[in-house]
Amino acid sequence: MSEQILVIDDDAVLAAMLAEFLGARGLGITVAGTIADGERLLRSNTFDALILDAMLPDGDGFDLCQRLRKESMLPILMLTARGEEVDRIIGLELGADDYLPKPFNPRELLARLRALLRRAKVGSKPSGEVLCFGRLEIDKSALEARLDGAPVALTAHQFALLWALASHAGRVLSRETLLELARGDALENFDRSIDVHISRIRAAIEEDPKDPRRIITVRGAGYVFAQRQDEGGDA
Amino acid sequence: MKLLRGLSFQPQKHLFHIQIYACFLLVLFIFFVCSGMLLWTYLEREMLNSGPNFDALVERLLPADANAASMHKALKDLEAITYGPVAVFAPDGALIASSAGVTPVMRQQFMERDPRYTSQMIDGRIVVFDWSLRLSHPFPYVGLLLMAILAALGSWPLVRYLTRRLDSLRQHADALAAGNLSARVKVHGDDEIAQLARRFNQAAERIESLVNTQRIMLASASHELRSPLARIRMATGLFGDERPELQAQIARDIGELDTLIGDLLLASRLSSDTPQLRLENIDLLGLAAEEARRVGANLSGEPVGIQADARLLRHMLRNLLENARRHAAGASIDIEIDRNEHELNIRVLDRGPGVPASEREKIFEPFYRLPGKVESGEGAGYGLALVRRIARLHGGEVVCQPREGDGACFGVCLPIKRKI
Repeated sequence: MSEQILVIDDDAVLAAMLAEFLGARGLGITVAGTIADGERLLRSNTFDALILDAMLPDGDGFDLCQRLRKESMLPILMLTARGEEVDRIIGLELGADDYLPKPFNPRELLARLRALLRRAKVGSKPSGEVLCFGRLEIDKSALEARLDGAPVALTAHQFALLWALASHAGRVLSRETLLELARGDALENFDRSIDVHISRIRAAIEEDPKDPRRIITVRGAGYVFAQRQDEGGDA
Repeated sequence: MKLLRGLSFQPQKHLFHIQIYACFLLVLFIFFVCSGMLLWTYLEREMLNSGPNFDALVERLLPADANAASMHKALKDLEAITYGPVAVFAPDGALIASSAGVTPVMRQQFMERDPRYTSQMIDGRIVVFDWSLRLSHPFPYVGLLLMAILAALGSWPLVRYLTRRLDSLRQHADALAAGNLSARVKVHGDDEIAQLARRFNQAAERIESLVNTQRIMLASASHELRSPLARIRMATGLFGDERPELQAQIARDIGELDTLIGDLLLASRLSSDTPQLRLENIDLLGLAAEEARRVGANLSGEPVGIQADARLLRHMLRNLLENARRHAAGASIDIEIDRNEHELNIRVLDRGPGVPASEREKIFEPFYRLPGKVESGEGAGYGLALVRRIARLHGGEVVCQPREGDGACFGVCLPIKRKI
């Protein structure tokens, strides 16, 4: 049985195209145009994920997102045309699992939706010990990194490095600092070939290790784990 | 607007009521001097006019056969009228009697016989009084001065009362200029200040509603403009695998439009006099690394912590790098970050055609096109204007310079410690 997705968007044309696009790829789509309709459908049916527009005729998508999060763990992907408040959409404040700014690349929407569904199936919920960056999850308690819900092969050293980088996302860490942070976690001595480890990690988590988007090298300074990674993967 | 802001940062001065008070004191002073002079003339004239009366009085008080004691007493009585010492001389100049000795002025008066200060008696004796002492008698002037001081003290609270309402109006105008659009003044009475206050309230009301309308319009404009874009983008996804190069071109164009919408909306949001900055501590190098990666630019530099609005700085870097990418014609782009004690410098360098010296300021104007450039897809947008706005909001500046060799260098300089 295909996975059931509820789309709440007042743009009927867009929703119809979305239904056609996602339906052709094996997902069951139900469309609601208002928050009231959406909530009614949510009560009567079971859905595997929700695609939610931020601005709806009878209310604010953000409010609905917050409300839903209090009572269920339904994966929520928010669509927003505001493009301004994206910083606070994901995470504890609003409870959305992912977001895409309009206009979005349909393929990207599909990829993210699938990632959400896989993650929900595995049942891992982001807690303090799990860092989520788009399709990448880094789970400290399981000492495991998952891309689209599937574990990637990393040694304990590499995981410690990745965790050190990701928990300081947006900050450039010198090789020394990185070594220090990772050693504290792994309780082991690293050899000096940190760059080799980094390229192994990249091979595991980057789509294109030649053009890394997650772990970026800053010449003469070190490495930085990008805060925003998947956006704009167009063209 | 700039002027207003300039004024509001000056130390507060309360000049107006002091000016009014100074004016009042000046008027009081002039009044005091004038009335003093009037008093002087009046007293003098009283002397002049009372000539015959005075002569008669003297004849009565100083009979020829009076003895020394009664003479002295009569002179003492006269003193009360002349406010000064009086003396009686024989026609040959010999002193007959005096109330309190003879002063040099009396001698002079005796010689000059000015009828204002002397009195020729029938029997030839001459009565002289010392006018200099008389006129400098302080009492009337002291009284006048006391009244003036009382008036000066009493008027201070009065002046304060009158100017307080103006002061409150000024404070509210300051608040409005500083961005508090809900500033309203309480209106008392119906005089000019009350009318001004009423007008101020009306103006503030209009500004507030205009700004609110604009804010709502902006929020919905973003929605209205991006919805059709989202539909077009979605539709391209339904084309399947036909004409992939055309699909990619459409996707790029949509991306460009989306960027332009974002730039315009951000620009109008930042166009208010005091936009809200969400300051946080950020690692500019880390931010630059992410943005440099998007366009494949080479980044070098050292980590620099700065207090800034992360979203705005990201937008600024992105616009600079996009601009470089558009003009670099496939050549590599470099971005360098370094700092000194007080400021940090970001340089975005490309190997494009560069910018002629005469255009290096103009390119920061919105939608400015380099002369000779035709519509070619590499549009002059709002990007650089926004870069400048964001740099200045953070107390910094951006300039365009020639790059050694070939190409352009855009340098941003930001203060590390913000003053505001």
